[in-house]
Amino acid sequence: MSAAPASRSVLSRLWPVLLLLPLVLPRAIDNGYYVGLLNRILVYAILVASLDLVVGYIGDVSIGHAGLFAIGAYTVAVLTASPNLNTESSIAHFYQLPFGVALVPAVLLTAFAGFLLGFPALRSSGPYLAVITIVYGLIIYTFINEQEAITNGTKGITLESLKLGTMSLRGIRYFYVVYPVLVAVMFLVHNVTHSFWGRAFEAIKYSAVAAECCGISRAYFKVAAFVLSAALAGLAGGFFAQLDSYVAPNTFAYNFSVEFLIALIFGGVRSVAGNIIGVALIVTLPDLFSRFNDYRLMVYGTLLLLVLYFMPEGVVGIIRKVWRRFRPLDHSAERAQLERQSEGINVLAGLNEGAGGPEALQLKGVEMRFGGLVAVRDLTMDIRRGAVRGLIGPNGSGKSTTVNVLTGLYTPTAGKLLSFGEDLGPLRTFQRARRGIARTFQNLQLFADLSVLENVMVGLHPSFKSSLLEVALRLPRARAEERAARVRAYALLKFVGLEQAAFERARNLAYGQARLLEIARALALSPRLLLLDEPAAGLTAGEIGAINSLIQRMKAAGLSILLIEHHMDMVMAISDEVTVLDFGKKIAEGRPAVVQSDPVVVEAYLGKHPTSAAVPA
Amino acid sequence: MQTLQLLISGIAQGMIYALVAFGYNITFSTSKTLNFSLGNFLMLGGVVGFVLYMTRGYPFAAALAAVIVVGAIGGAILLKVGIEPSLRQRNAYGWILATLAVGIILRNGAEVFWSTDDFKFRSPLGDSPLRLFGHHEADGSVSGGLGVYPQELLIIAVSLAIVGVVETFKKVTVFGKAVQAVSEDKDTASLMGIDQKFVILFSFMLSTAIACVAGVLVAPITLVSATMGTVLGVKAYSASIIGGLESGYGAVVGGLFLGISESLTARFISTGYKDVPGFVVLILLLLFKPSGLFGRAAIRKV
Amino acid sequence: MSTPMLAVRNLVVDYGKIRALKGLNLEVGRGELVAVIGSNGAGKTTLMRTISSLIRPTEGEVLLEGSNLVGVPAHQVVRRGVAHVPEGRRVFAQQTVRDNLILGAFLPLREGKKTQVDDDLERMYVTFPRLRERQDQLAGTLSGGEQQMLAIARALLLRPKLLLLDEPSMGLAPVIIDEVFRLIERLKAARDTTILLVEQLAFRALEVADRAYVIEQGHIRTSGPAKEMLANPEVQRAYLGAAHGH
Repeated sequence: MSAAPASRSVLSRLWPVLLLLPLVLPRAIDNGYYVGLLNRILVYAILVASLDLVVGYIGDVSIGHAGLFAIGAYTVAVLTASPNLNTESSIAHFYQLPFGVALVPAVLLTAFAGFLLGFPALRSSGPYLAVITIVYGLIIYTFINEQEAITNGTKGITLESLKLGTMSLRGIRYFYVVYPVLVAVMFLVHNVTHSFWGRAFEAIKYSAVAAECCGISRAYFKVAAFVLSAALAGLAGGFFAQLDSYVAPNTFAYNFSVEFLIALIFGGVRSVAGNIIGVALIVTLPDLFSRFNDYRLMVYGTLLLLVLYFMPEGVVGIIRKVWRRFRPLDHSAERAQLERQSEGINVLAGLNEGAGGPEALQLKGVEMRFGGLVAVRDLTMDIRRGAVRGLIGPNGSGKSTTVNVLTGLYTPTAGKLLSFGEDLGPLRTFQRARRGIARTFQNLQLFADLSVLENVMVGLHPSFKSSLLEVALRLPRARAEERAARVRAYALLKFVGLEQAAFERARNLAYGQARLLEIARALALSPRLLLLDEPAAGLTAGEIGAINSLIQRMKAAGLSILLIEHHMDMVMAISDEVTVLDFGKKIAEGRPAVVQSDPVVVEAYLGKHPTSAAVPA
Repeated sequence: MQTLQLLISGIAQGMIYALVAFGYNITFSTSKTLNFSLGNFLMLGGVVGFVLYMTRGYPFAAALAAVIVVGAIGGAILLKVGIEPSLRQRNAYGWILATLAVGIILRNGAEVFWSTDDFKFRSPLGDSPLRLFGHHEADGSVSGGLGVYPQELLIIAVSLAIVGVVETFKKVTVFGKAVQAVSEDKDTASLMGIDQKFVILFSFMLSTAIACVAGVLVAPITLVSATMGTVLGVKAYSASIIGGLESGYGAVVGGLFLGISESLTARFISTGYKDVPGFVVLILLLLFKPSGLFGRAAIRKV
Repeated sequence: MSTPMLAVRNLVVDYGKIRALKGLNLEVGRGELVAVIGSNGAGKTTLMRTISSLIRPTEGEVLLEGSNLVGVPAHQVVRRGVAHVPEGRRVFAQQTVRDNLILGAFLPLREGKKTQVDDDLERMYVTFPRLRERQDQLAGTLSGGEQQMLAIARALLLRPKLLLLDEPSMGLAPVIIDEVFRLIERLKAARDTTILLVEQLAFRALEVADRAYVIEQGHIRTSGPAKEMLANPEVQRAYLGAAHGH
């Protein structure tokens, strides 16, 4: 196997079991009823996996997946139903298509519904989005309930059981139909979520701004997640329709969405094994205890609270913890391989843009106005190729606003921005990142629960050229790109001195290390222009020295750098030129020594001296 | 005339939505969380009121008082068990799941410890409709004219009174101003000597008590059951968001819009689709003006 | 030597993962105006927020007239007589000027001191005529300077023993800063409030203060009588770095 991901999921260890299961399990379970339960678990597991894409990876609470499930189920039901089983229905037209054929429009239609849901998801988040998903589910439910000519309303639709030739595919035979589908879905989902796609989803969840600054289009990936999730939910719905050969609206009510959300959280998000465990629980519990159904929701509600407070990573999280007691995580083999493969990689190679040609950065008369407040006023500033420009000024002088304007977070109300001769105006944030403008953040924007290595790999996002299909099927090009990215990310960590922490979660880093990680991530973009927003804030003297030498090396390699800092010793030592802002305006500019002793600058920082003469430093 | 009757029913139903929406707004403005279990508190009020007034036969006023107390205590429990622990977790939206969980526990709890059936709740003002502007008969009865249930008038009067009193209290008293201060800036409110934890506790207790009262008010015109609050709670979000999550009177406007559109849609288009206009307006609003008709747009800072 | 109004001992404060204050010691005597100056990120606002208990320190003590404030909730620190005018003013933008002032008097009103509050309110209006003019306007519509006046007036209604002024000059035009500092001088002259002033504009602060501390990266760099500090080149160096050759 090629370089495996750092945290191998439970499932990837169990794949031999998965292959043997279909041969062993159904024979072991003699009872038709329990086979029925098993089939139900398989179908629901696909639904929960789809929900996980939105809830676990993108981080949005969706309480409306019952609606998407319903679209899949009903499309299949409507297209395959035959009049002889639905003699007293109000259905206007019977298409009587075969099951396999009907699945295609079911998935496509649900995917389209997911696409429609993606737009509100871009505009809203958190509770607002949760409400939209609830309402979405209710609208679909209402439609199904009311449109009797299509769906037969509350009476439901009865389907013929699935047939292969003349053989009826019920019970154990249906298991052999659904099982491969589940395995295929899990395989695809696993591959997508453990690739740059999955990292893009999670990056958006942890910090949409930082994700965009790594070249990830939030709009594209968020809508894509909803579409993929919906497609899978539709697929699950299609197979569900055949589970009981009957569909009725009351299955797909609001409570259904809530129960599956609980199953997902209980099993553990972002884990295919967790999805299955969660589903197994809610399917089998009512069977283990008689009258459980009466107390079902109370138990689930209490379970959810317990999971939220005491085991946020779900059952899978607990299994992992216990497993780690006996077999602690050992990355040494992988680390050794990465060490070997990253030897000799010069992360600074090729960053030199050469001396001739337009400036790395040109701001011309830039103004940034927020309503009545003018944060940046008539700013004209250049950065020559390969130069370091310091940008300083008292609190509120407009420095961070300037960086945000440069990365495209804000659109300036006047003026022009050019980088290497190219007008940045029409480019959105993620496009600017792809053009080689990288930044670090004053308030750390790390992807907290991704590993340090994965954080840097998000910075490598624009370097991936594989299509979604290649990623989902783990085709050679996708695997090769992933391997190469891991190696390069490791090399970048070596450059900043963080390689020891490569497999740690980013949230566990000490503050100084976190700052270094942001630099490594920014460098991953192979930038032409690097914007450092207070990289030394809160660091000890030793740590500042480390940052200093990094900046020196990057400068020596030919990178153009804009450095915003309050540590004056650092800024003055490393900048070729310094620009000083106060109240959004440039008040001084020039070589560090000149700026340091400029009385206008002294007054901006310290106020007017009572004797009106600056004391020589 | 029939349309007018429809309107009044719609207004009455709308005021119930408004009360629950008002409840959402009260806790949202102080704690920035949306209480997904509030609809189930409405049910709690209806059920407790039913048990005391109908089953046990206590006077209505006593039952109402008990409902208010139960609601307030429930709100305190919700805050301590549901909200506060979630806010301490890493996950930013854990409280959505926590309040959902409390909601389903309440609903299932009612099913288990009370009943899964639907029951009729007699209005304390009588269940026969008043006839206004009708034709007075020789025997003293009235026929024709506008038929209005006294309970509907009670709902409208009490709801407006509740919203009016709370909003006035907020603007006029010092404590009310303190609540507004906590809504706007918790930390600076602390610097004024205001105990923001107490303000938040108070807001939760008030919000759930109001929802419980709404449950008692609406029970006579629908049926009391363990599930009476779930969908109502969802529709009340619409009212909240339409009116703006921090505006008291906005909740009333949102509620009225919902109630009236439902009433008219049920009559002139179909009962099955009565919820749709409200939902559609909600989605459109969330797409184009998420802060609602009366809300203030929040400015995100990076 | 009587107990100082405020004594901070070995204060260590962590802000998320950053150690913002690394063992700070300072003192403010009764009736004094002490300034804490230093550039951005040095820890000044963290210090203020720790004194008023909006942040809990990792180690150390904050003694108000000898009793420790650490662990006391913020709203009770206020009750002990500490008024904090926060960085950025933080007036309640959606309430009127008058209501903002009433909120400043929240505690005296709760203690039933209505007459005192009415008198104080009148005195504020005399000191700040523009606030009287605008009393029914929403505080958010006031200019920066007016908001600063409002924030200070709001704090004074508490009749505090200790007034914490956090960067009053921030975001204000020089002419308005003059006004604000004239007000601070008047407060000092009245001598009934002890003031701890945190400022970025070192020279301005040194002009009004009795004593000053220079804070840099969470440490006290130097301290002494304000007049002496005005002549000390260390101060400028702390802001703009050591002189550079090239």
